[in-house]
Amino acid sequence: MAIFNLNSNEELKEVLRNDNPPIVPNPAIAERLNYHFLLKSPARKVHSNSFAGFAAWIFSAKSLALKAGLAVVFSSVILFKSQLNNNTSIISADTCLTKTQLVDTNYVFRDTCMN
Amino acid sequence: MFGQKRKYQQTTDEQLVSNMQCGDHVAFNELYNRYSNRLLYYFYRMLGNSNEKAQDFLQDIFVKIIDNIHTFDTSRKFSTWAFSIAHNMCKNEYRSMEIRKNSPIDDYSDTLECPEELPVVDFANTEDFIRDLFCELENFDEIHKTVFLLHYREGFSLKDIAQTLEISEGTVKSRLFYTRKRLAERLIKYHPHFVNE
Repeated sequence: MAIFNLNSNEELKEVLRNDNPPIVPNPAIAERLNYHFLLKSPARKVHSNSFAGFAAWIFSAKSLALKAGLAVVFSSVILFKSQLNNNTSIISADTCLTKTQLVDTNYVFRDTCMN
Repeated sequence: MFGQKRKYQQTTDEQLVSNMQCGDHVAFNELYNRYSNRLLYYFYRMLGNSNEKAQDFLQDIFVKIIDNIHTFDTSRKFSTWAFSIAHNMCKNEYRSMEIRKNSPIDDYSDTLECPEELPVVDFANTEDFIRDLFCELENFDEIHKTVFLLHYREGFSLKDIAQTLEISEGTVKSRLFYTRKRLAERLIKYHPHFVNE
């Protein structure tokens, strides 16, 4: 007759850890769960690629110094660019208008457009 | 791919969950490999040793984990979270079983047949002991069974069990002692020298 000491935690643990009933997870479950996981994943990816996080950061009171610095850099770039555009926009001719000579060879055209 | 699998074998459960939250299916496979056998055993023993029911519950719990993975706080232990979901599922099933109790159709076809009185045998091995142990455990409610299995099979500390079941450590301790004492009384033939601690 074997004696199992129910006073001993270790002995009970040992007995239960060695308990191996004839059950294994059905492989079809793993396949179905993988499919379910893949179906769920795109939703999370769309969520992570949205601009909501960035917008929340922009309009929050966090990292004000960084935001101020970025604003200064952005303004400087715009001003510098407009300055460059002013320098290069020198008009070298009196006018840029061109006159197209219309030849009125047709009387219908002459009656409608030339009057 | 294989390198990633090998890398994940060294990774903690919580890190795997964190990767799962980013849609990493290799992390999910690793987590499934770590927990499928443990959860299957838990459901099998909790639900009257029914293999079919345990397999269904195993699938359901992982569906719940996938659906709610973004709610998991990675500063917590994954094992306590997973087993708390498993415990709640069993609790709901016990309630349903109470409702179905008087129904003439019962789907428990492969449950253990427990005798009213345990026969006295001259020789017993570990298999006999385990069979009789789980026969007796069937007479306990779900909370006593869970505490017993989480402590002795899963090796959870009293604190972890308390967190899992959302009860106090003192309650866990008393439930564990009561279960052991009752089992000892019923399984006296295996341990003639059991004494109350």
